[in-house]
Amino acid sequence: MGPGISRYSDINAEPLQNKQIYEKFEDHTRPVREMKVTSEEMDRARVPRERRDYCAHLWLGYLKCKREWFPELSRCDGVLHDYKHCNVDDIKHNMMEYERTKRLMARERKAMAESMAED
Amino acid sequence: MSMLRGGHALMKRVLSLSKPDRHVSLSVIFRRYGSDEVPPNYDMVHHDGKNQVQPLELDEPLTPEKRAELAAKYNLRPEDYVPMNDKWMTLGDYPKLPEENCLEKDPYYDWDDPALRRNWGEPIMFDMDQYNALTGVDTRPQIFTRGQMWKILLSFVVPCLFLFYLGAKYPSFLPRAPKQYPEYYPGDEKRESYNDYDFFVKRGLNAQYRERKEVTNYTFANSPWGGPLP
Repeated sequence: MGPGISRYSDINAEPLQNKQIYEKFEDHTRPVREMKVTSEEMDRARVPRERRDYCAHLWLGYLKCKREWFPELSRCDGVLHDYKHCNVDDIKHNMMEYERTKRLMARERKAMAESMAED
Repeated sequence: MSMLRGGHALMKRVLSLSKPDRHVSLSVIFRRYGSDEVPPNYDMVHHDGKNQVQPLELDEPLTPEKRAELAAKYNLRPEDYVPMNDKWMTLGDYPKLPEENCLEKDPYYDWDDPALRRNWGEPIMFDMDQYNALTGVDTRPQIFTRGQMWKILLSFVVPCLFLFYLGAKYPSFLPRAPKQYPEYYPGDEKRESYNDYDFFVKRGLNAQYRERKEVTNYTFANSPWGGPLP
């Protein structure tokens, strides 16, 4: 198969879903991911657990729009589109996080191999 | 009202259909019988020992005379009679009969028992309760043979398995890190675990698993497609 479809993968070089590896390579000098709403606001809106992510402010906006315009829900299509776009960006963020961790793992392995060669 | 009267007459007719004709007077029924006399019609249901199922030796050869005698006992032809005295479950001289559902028999014949499609005096198969029309095993011939069934099944299953294999070997998406949340609930791990069977905890009813904690996550300064990430 072509390179656009298949990838070479070594399971020892992949962070996969291991949260300890992500915590190990965490960089505290990076900008903090901003949460636009507080937990108390989400509690008051009774946001379910799976929607309490970094797009919750858009979900709250969608709830507000629904309450305002029901039953003309087609007026909330734009708000819902923004929410879905935010989710897509969140997925892209996770993909970048994966790639970053994977490259840092490779760098660490390379440095370790060099230090072993020097000794 | 006339309809009700008509219905009542019809009901009487229907009930009278199932009422047996009593030819024997009550004095005959309730009279005392001696040990040597047989009540009327009792010879139809109460067989003596010789007419009941008798044990049959496994080693003993079945002579044609004995076979004809036993076949006549069960209203069978001698060439159709095979005793069920096999090695594992010996049933004496009871005949071995074909395992066919009564649905295979002719529905337009005037059977004595139409429900089981059986005639009076016909030999009864040992497992006849397993081959009745409603709840029994349907032994009618099927439209496909067993080999054709296997071919049809595998023609669906094998391509599906091949596609699963292809999708696992050549993933068409980029791998992702686990999703980040601004809060941490200890109950989340409980809910996703397969080892913990405490459903009281899994539904989040235990208060100590509902205490949440703030989590700080970090993002990238600029995304490759322009602008900061959420």
